[in-house]
Amino acid sequence: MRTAAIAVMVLLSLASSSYGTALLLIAPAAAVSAIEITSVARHRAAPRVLALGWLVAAFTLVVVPSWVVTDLPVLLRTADLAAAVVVLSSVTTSIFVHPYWYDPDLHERTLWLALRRLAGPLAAAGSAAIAMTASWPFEMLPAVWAVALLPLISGARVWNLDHSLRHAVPLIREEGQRGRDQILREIHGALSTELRQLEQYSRDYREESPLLYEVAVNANSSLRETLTLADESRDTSTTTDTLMAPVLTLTRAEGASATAHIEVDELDTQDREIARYVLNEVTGEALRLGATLLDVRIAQRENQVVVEVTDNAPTGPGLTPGSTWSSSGPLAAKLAGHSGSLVRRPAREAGSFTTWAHWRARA
Amino acid sequence: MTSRRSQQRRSRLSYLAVLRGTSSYNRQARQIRLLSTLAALVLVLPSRHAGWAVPLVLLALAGPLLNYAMALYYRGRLRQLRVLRTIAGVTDRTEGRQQLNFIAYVELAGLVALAVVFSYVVTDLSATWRLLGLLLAVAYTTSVGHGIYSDHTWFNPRESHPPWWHELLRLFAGPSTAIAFAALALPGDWTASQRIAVLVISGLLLAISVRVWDLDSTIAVVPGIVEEERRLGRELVVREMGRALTPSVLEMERLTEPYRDRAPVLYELALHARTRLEEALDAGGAPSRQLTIDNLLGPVLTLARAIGVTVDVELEVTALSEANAETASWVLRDLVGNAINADATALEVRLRRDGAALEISITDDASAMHLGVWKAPGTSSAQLERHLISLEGALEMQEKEQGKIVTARWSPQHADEQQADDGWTNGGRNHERKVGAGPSR
Repeated sequence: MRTAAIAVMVLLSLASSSYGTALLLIAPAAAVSAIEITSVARHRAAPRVLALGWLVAAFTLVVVPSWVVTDLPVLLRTADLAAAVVVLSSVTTSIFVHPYWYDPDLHERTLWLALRRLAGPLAAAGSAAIAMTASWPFEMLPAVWAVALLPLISGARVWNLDHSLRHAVPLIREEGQRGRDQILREIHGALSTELRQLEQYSRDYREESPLLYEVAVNANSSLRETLTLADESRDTSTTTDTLMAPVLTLTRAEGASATAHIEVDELDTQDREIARYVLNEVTGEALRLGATLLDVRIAQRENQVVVEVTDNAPTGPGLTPGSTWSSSGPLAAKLAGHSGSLVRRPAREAGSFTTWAHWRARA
Repeated sequence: MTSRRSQQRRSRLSYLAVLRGTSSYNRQARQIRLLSTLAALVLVLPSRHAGWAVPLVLLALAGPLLNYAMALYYRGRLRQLRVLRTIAGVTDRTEGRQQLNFIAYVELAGLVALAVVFSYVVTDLSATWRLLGLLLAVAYTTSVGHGIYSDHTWFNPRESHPPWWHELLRLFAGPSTAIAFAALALPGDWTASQRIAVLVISGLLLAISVRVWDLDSTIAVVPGIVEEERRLGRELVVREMGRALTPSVLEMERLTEPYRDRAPVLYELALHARTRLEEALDAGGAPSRQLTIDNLLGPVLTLARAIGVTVDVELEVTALSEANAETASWVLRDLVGNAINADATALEVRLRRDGAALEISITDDASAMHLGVWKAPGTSSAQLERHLISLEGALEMQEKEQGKIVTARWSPQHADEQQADDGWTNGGRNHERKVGAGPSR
């Protein structure tokens, strides 16, 4: 469009006696257009330089019909002005609807944003300042004003684009989220019951094959952790805070509630599996014994991973030999295998108990 | 060609994207019309022909004022005004359709009135004054044109057979409006050079096409980006699920192998889990295409039978549309899963059509969920209920002497879905039929 408008201006200028000056003033715009078309400017800074070049060239074009080719018939002169203003509007629009303005990694200064907001009026004011200070037949003034103010359309186009995107972007986000939700529901629906049943059945063979039970617990918990991917801001389900997901599912299913304090940012895969197992066993046992409130803390102190669970189950420490909480139980045995231990003691709050599980961290 | 253009533009997502912005756009466009008309009213007052001009400008003012009143009406105010109720009744009949509503006709009359006033009526005013008035008429017309040609109805996928000339009119919205405006204004009382000015001012109406092109080109990319985002979301979940579950599930299958004879349920479960995981990951999260109810029931019933739960199935509907198959699949998995997890030993699954609604009921002999757990926030039953409510349905539980009945009910959203659901009546020939998209999904 710009090239066509420039071509029209060249042709109209040739009809004027001042064609030399006119063509000289049109030359910068033609040069910038040629540079753009031939892709000569491939340098990183080129787009900014080109934009600046276009702006200067476009305002220079407005000078031609206003001050140079004044001997043209008024209709042709107005058409010439319209062509110049079309170039200016097109340049302004191109600059201010560039994807750069929507790049989330770039934070523009307020001044630039204000400039963008006022792009249309500023460009219109510039073209009007150049055109309206020239001499025009009195009766043509409203028409010249109308043409000179055409760059206001640039502002409207910037506004239109912002308006369309403002409403389209949340829609895109929501619809994208539906894709996640759908597959989560599909896979979770397909596996949830199987893995839960596997955990229950393998519990009966725990003495015989502790590894089978641990793997079943791990699979079931992992599935619950992946549900955290329903949160659109998440791109992984293996951060340390997702360890709480199975605990929260379990407590919710039993009508209890749990609070979490995750004080470690990263855990080795094996430590994560142990933590999952500990959480499943300790919180599961507390809920079975009637706990309604759980407070879970996961931390790394020096080279130890520590899981603390405070509950209000009405049972003291290690009362049943071989139970989850006893020092002779399978959980304690597993922790001992990782240079750790399991302790259950009354907590500071009356009627509560805290279970400490710790083991040597891998990393 | 016009038909192809029209079809290419229309999609549920494009429609929604434009629809969401319509009310705020209309609000601002209404303000432009209101301000232009008020300014026009001020301009005509000094004329000796104000007696003719003012009523015409007031006619133009009626459009934006009515528009404003209707906006208040739809927000629940001014409900007592019968005239607004009548207009709402007329307007609602054309909502979403590619038809001009009553207010649009009033505004079209208003723009003609403004052009007439400044071209033919207030001829005693100075040319500059009148041309300025004509500029206001152009602003009013541009705003009305934008309202008509950039409306969400042009993107409505359900508007499948609009008249061919509608598209042609939209394609040349700017030029045709400019020509019509110039044709109306130019024969007025103008000198030759003033006519050039009128021509230039009329040319400003080309901006209507600019807005239409801008909107079309911006909205055209939305469906593609949405698909891309959905795909990325699905891939992320599949990748994470695969990484989190595949090693454990394979390990379980290996560890349960020695128990194959002693504890066949354990082995069956592990095998089943591995198969289901592979199926889900292989599908890559693509929407379920299983349209027969047997296909949907298969995995759930296999699991139930594997762990020794007896299942009795009664089906009144054997084929479902894609959207309903998805809901049915969700209902079956969740409710059968809950029953199995609650140690049910016998299940009765019933799928029937209750009037326009579809209904799945699961009867089992397990105890009901704790109070405060069933449909509690964050639970799968709460999510399922929310989905059913969005489909004008419900999720209800009724306790029995021994066990409970859980019923999920929902309404197919569109007539064509219902036809697809009735596929069993014509041998399932409708199975491959695509479900029409709509604004209220």
